[in-house]
Amino acid sequence: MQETPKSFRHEFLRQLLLGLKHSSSRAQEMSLLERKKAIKLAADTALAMASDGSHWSRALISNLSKLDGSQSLIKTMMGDEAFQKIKKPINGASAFCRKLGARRVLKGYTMRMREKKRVPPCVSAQALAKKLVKRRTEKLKCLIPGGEFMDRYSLLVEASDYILSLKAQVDVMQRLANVLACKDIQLNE
Amino acid sequence: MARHPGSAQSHHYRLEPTIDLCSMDMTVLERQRTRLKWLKPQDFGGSASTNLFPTGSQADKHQESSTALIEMLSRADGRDGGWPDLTAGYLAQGGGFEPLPEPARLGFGTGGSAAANNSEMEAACRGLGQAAISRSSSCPADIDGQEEDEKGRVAASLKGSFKKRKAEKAQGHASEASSPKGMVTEEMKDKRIKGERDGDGDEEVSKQRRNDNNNTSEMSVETTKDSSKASEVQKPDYIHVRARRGQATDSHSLAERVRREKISERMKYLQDLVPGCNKITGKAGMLDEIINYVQSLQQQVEFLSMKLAAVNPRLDFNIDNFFTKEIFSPCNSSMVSPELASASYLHFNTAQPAAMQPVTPCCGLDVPISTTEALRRTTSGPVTIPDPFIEPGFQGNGSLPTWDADLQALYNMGFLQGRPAAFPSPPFPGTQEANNLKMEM
Repeated sequence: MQETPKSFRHEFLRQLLLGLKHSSSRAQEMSLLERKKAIKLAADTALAMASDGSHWSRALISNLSKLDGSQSLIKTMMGDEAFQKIKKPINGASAFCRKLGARRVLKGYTMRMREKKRVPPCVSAQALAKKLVKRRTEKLKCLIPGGEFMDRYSLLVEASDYILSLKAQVDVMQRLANVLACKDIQLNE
Repeated sequence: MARHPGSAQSHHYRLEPTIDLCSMDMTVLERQRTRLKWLKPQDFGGSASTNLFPTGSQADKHQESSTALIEMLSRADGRDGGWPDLTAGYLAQGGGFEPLPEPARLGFGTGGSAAANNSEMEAACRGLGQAAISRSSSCPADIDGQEEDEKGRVAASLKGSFKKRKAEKAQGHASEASSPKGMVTEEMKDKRIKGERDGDGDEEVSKQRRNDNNNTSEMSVETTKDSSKASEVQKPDYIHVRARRGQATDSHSLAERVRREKISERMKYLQDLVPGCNKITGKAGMLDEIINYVQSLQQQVEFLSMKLAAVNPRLDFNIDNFFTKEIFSPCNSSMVSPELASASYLHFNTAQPAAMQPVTPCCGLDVPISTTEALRRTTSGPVTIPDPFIEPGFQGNGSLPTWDADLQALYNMGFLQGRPAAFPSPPFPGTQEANNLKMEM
């Protein structure tokens, strides 16, 4: 099984702690869910930052920057000018509209598929398999950040990259959580 | 070859079957006749003599008349087994394997062997060449031996078989190519073949081919010719497509085939990546598995961030009080071995200039602390660094303050990551000798 390079994990951890540090100032008055959200945001941004250059990471950052209250964090993590660069394409509403449009089309498509599926009982196996694959591809597109605009090949490329990064993310966060938990116990003793 | 069973799926497909197949597809009589045809142009133009070599392994009993050929064959036979074993030898050679001339040679040598020589035939004797084409059209399996548009079909099938062989080669080495480049080179390749087929530069082509052949016989001994070197460089540019019987060979369908090939390659890679995916066959099932895996990973991240939030109510990850931005200064990525890892230094800015004492396996950590008093602790000797992730309640020696555990843990983490992937991280038992953690604060 492939592994992400160690440098990636280090970079991710560095970014994550940076982001957490940023949000720790307001942590006192946060609820648990808010804190969780902040941590998630920091983790995702760190992930995107750590694997710089891939399509999904850019898409992830641009998705994240649409969320409320994420701007300052991303700004601190990325640095100002890089953030401006990211911001630019987002400001144009076209991307968002396109996305919405794509969703709508997708929805319509799946609806139509469902109807069709009911009507003809005898479809050729090949066509059915094609349909199944297509549906799953669409599903995968929704999962991979920025996947809506990819063709199948680059979707798979990005998916493999994304999976590797996610693995690393989960791993590092697991370790961090364990460290903190252990520290907690020590404090309580 | 379409008739060959499983040719579409077999990736480590060697050359022998194609040759055998080729000779099987022709009846003996046809073979002899075509061979006669080849011999004739050879008499006309001496340059064509070496072109017979590729078919040597199937024709060696018949072609003693050509001295050049005998020479070539003896060279090949000296390596006992002739042509296929030669190529096997190359395969054994591994990385230094030259891809380009091989498929080209093969394209001429085996599947389209009769057709490949058409260019010379046309140059030498038109009429004979024509006859040979119509006869040899039964040789490559891809062609339906129709009368009309014979040449075009031969060309197409030649192209197809060439592609096929290229596919086998490239797949055998798992060569991966970037999409546009591969396409372009493929097109170029096509054009080159076409050009040859059209018989524009017959002499030149045959010379080149002879060069290739020479290279073939000498490659296993030494890589001499620069052409082979060039082809080594060009190797990864190729994408393999194969046109089976009845498949279209126009550029669009070729491109589509290339695309599909690449996609399936990617799928294989993903299959390795996603656990439990390699038992599943079928694209839909695999995609399902991938989707599930991605979703589970994303949920895990959610869960972990929840856990972090719960564990640490103030979001006060103490670590970043102690560590500044460089938690792990991108630890010299050269640290591959544990020894190196343990000897690596993590440099941080200090609030006060703290003297670091780099004992050989040492983790020098200069940490900014608010207090000015220097805390000196030396944990010397083989310390069993526990896995803080497994046994959280560890207090190696009771004097260790909490943050020290953090340091150790994080250090340990970085350390673990520095290890080869074969080392499973969770069951890290914890006896880590010679980790003198010397810290100066």
